[in-house]
Amino acid sequence: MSTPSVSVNRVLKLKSSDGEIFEVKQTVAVQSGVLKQMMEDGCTEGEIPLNNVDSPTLAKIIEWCNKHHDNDVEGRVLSEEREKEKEKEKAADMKKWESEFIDALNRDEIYFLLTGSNYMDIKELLDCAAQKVADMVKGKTPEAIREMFNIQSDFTEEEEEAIRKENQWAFD
Amino acid sequence: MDRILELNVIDLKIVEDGIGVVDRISELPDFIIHHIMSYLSSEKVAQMSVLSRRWNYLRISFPILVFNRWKKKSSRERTDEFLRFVDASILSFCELQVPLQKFRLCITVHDVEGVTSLLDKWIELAVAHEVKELDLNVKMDSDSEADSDGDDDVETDGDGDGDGDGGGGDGDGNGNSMYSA
Repeated sequence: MSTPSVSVNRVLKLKSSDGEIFEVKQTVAVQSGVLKQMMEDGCTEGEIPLNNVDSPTLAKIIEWCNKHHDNDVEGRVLSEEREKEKEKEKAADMKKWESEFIDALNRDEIYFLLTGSNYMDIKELLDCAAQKVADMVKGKTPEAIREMFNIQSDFTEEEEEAIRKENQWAFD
Repeated sequence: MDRILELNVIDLKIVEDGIGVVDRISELPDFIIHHIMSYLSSEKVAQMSVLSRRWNYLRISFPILVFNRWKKKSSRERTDEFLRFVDASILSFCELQVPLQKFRLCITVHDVEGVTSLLDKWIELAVAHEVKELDLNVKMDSDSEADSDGDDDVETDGDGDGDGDGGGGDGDGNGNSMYSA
């Protein structure tokens, strides 16, 4: 009965792994490759279970999508010569918002955001979270990285020495 | 009563901040960690192989093989050591039988003859593993001293020599490696 097309006012009901329901506009939800596909297939009636995403993570993901959606919509309003200039400003503002958004998260939250955005297929968010982890690693020694992420070495001393030797050029 | 509650909040906060808890990052699927690695230098990726067995495997299976030893002046011994590392890396990646995304090598060698057979082998392996981006830059050490110290940076000239029919015959030399005989 329902048409599969995306409509401005219609909302999707997303159910997190811990049973919380989140309502999201279809126009916002298209940022998720998985939800977009479901809308195209016309199977978004009722609650959509997202079994791999818990409610705090889903709230963060929706916050991200809402922000990026608002930005898109505003962008379309002024389509004059000043658009380019305005676009630049907007991109800079968005970058700032994104870094504040991601910097406010602890390591576990980033982890769940990585798995959640991957599960829901939201590429920009996955890229942003991956970049964040890369930035955390940059300039750190292996020991410091281990400490930061609680990584336990399961090498024997000799094995670690051998691996270090193999990769010696990278430590020069 | 209030004090007890406050303490609990602090306890929770510590757990939330992830201090002294599980190592979640190592649990991420391989391709997400590889995605993270794609934002890092090849040196950093290589350094991370000492973290644990899991990370050593993640380095081995990382489908972006980039080796850069372009500017560094090094002894014949160190160059040979580096060549052995490149060789071992390529061989262990190829054992996994998965497609190779990128193979990039920038190296200064002492004698070209010594590396041609290695280069041939690597190109053949890269092509056999469906490499999408292939970029090889080889420079002679003696040349670099004589004239061309000016090469600032190596530009990717990747002429996509990887796919197609390049695999069979090795007649087309060594991809886009730069030989100055």
